[in-house]
Amino acid sequence: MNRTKWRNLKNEWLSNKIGIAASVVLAILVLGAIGAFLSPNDPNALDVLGKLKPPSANHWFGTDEYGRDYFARALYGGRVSLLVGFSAMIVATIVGTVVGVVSGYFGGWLDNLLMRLLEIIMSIPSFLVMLLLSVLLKPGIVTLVIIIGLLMWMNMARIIRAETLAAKEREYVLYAKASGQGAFGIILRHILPGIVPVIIVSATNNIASAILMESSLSFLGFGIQPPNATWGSMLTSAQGHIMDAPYLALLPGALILLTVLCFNILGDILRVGLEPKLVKR
Amino acid sequence: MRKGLYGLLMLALVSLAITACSGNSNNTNSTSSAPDSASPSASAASGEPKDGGNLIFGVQADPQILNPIYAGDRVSLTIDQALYAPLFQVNNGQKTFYLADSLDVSEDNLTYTLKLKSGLTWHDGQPLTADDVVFTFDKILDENQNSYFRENLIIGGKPVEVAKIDDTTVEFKLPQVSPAFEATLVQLTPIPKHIFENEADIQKSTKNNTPVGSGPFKFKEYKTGEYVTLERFDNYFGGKPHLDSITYRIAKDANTTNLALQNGEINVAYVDPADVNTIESTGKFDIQAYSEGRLGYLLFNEDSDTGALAKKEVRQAISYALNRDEMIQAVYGSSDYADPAKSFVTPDGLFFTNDVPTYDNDPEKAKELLASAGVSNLKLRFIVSSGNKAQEAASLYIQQKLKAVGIDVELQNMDSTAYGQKFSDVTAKDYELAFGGYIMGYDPDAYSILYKSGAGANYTRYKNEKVDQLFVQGGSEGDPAKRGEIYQELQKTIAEDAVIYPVAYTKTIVAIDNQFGGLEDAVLKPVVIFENPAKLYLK
Amino acid sequence: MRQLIVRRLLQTIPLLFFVSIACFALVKLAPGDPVLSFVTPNMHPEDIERIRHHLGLDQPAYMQYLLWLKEMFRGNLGYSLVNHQPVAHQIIERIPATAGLMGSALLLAVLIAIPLGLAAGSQRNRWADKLINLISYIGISIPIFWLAIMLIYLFAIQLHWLPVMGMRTIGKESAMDVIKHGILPCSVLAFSFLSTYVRYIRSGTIGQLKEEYVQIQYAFGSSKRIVLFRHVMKHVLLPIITLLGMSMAELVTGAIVTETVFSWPGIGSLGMTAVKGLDYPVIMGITLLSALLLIIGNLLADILYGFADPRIKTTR
Repeated sequence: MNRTKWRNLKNEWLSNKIGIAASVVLAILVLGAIGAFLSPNDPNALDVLGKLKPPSANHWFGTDEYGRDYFARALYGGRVSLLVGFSAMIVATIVGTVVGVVSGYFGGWLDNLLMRLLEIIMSIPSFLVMLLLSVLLKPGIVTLVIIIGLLMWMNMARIIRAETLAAKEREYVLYAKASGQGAFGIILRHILPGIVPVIIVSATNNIASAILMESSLSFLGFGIQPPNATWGSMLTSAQGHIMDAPYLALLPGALILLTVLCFNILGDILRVGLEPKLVKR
Repeated sequence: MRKGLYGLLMLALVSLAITACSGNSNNTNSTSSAPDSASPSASAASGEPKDGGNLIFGVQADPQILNPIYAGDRVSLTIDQALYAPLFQVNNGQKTFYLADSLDVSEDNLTYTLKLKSGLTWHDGQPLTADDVVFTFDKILDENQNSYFRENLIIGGKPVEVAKIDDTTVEFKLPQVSPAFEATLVQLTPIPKHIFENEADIQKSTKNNTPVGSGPFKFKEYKTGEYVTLERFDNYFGGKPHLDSITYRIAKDANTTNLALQNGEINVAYVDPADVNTIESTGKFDIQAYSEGRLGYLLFNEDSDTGALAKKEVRQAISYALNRDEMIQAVYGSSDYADPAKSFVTPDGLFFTNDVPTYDNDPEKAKELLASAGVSNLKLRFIVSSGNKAQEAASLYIQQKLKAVGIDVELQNMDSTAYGQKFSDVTAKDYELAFGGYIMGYDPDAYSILYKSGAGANYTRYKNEKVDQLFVQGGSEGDPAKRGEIYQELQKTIAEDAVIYPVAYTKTIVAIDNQFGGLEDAVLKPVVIFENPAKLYLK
Repeated sequence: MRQLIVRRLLQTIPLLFFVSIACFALVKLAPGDPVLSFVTPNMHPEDIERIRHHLGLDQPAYMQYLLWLKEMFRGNLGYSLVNHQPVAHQIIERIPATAGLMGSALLLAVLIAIPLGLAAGSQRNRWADKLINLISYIGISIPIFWLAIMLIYLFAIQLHWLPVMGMRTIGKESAMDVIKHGILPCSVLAFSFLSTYVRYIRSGTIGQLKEEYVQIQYAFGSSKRIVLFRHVMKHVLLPIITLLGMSMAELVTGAIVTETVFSWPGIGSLGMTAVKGLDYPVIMGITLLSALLLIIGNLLADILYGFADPRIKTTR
């Protein structure tokens, strides 16, 4: 990663008002998630008689079907949603990068094996993998992260492999090879730095898809452990009250939309900034 | 290129249209010209049953198999109720005869003689005789046919003998006295011999796709994932049904069902207590609640790996920590549709009594009991089937209440399949609490599989020799008075031991479009919604 | 070219084999007992045991797989554990609903994407471009079931224009009726596909407008609209065809969430029920079909690409 690239990135970001807006929105959401504990209401305290109350001074966004404070739940829910999105991205990035680099750099039978394996996994419909894994694993945040991460690494691996293939033909890599450096050293010192921009771009987009995927999983009934919430699980339960309390669906829906939108926008700005040579996807 | 775009648009429309035409269906009529669904008729003349009209039920899944000797799921049972007439039904101890004309029991309680009505026919016009009844029972007993009900006909290790006496009379000889045999006859419905006679494997037979029954409505078509339609059977022995057709529409998502109900795309559906107000406020529905003889209860797993609930005092303490009325509020929304429960037997069951220890809310007593049992810092695991609203509400409520007496509850949500597996595995040791429900029917002998030591469905792992003996005595006692005493003793013992915490006898709520009448005569019935859909009519 | 096709088709056999093993292993690793999905508490344990034996579920997992494989080689995909109907028949029954819905949605998405993409590309960085960009961003950022519920609330419950659920009105057998039921699910899906296509067309348009022939057309006095629709579009559609080819597997399993919300009787809802009941013959059937379509789709995309642009050599 060289200085020109950073400058490109900075220029692209600062010259783009939407990019700044997206960053600000995300910063607010992250602060909200971190500062969730400051909320006066316990997100999990039930109130049997105070179900589905409209917004009031005590409950800024009213209460849900068990009488829990909706605003507090949205804050805590955001914490889990963002955490799941971020961690799943890390899982996908690590697995995808390792597989992609190894496959691309070493080539031969290893490449063949890994790529065939990848094809097999990609050939199984993702919703089946998703559902079966969630039956298989003990439910919880970690499981969610693993499931979502495992569904996203394949594309990443393909992109990284292609980049590695290109990078290893560069002169300085060939030179390093000729001078007898070990494969591990070459990868770490010469290959990886070159493909960091690609990794960052994919990672940003992956956070966005991970958050969306979490909400789909919740909708299909394989989400987080109660009493905890995520935006996805809040949205799913709000769906049952579309007739008597339609406003319940607005808050989590809007939050997911906003977050995912911001990550997608940032992803594209990063792409333009970091890979000016690449044709836009 | 403009034209090209237009062409693409047409292609999009056409591909949808092809979808329309090629949806596979098992249509018995080559062309269907069924009128529009349930068109609201302008007639206001109430009361008088009128002929015509189509009724649409909302059901949660595809029927598994439209053959009564294999039907175990709610949807198949519901459709079979209209498609296949039962021999007879029992309501509050009173028999209503359908295919049967009478049922006589011999002095020694070993021989049952069933007389059929004369002149019965199947939907295809063939006569329905004693041969069909004998055929059906033979096939159920035939191990190769894999019927789900075979063991019902095995009493004391020997099969029931079924013989034809004449065209309308069948005799059942029991190897030993079994008061529950009558309940078995209620459950088993004849299938047509002339259809299935030459089928090697009835379960896999394609003839199940176009079933021929004997009930008030005959099969018309089934579009998988969409609906099953039945149409009026004019020669029904109970008189021509009023409705032209009944459709069972598959709507897997409960929220979608509610919306479709309000939009008139479904006329009858189960409703969650929480949604009753919304549905009722539209003013378009009759809300009917009826008891399914179901008990909702908190399950104590006495044999978990921590052994936390092995002591009776701890189970009693938990019971005292909870408030039944509050819990009903939390789980069922209001007490309108859930009566507080105390006994493990449901009120519709024989020999039911509410005169048992009840554990009314008393947190101080709970703490005392825990202290006297020498238990502190108790940690319990509560398994929950995710998406099940009642279980989720119950678990959240119990978690909060038990925290107040110093018990820590960890909720473990899991997919319904995984939950079902864990719950019904009587060797599972990795949880202590679950919120369950059961429907066991009116004969209390059925409860033995839940509470006898080592029984197949003893999910609590409860062991008590006295209880085992009482169940054995009750199962073979012929004198109703003595039987009654035995089962009341049982109910007291089990409540005393706090084997479960009974929460409520829950009612099932059905919303019925108020264009339709005849609900009383059709008789609301557990599981199948209506006992006799022939009586329903469009107002 | 023929060699390529033959080789690729031969490659699919081991691939499908391994896919089937992986899928079977996943199902068998999941805790749960398929028998439980149709067992009621008042069934006798002996009956349950007998049923389990009858279905071969009391055998070790590898034996169950081998038996499945044996039947598979005879062209028999087996019987559902739950309703005992042939798997192949059940899948075929559901294909029209799903393929029709997804096919229409893909076509609709492309149809909308073409003018939007061309407009965005030719108005680069002006307000039209930004607006179109925002719309396509929202398309990939919105939770699909949320959008579906909102549309149902608006168009079915409030306005009563469209039905809430299903694929047809009971008793009606008209194409119009199915189209009416398909409008909402189709639009929801199309909206979620839109952004990919818009982006491809937009960047393609930007690239093409720099080409010499465009300048020549302008010089001959062609209007901008004619240049865009007559000439630029032809070139821009190429990657779209490839993309469509690669979406073939989606035709089968891509719409599960949408199918669930709208009670659409497609493969997705069949698969969902099968997974919940651990009905492995059905799960395997759907998986194999989807894998096969994926392979064929990719192959088709490559071939089409080769035909459309002879400069691209068919390597691999």
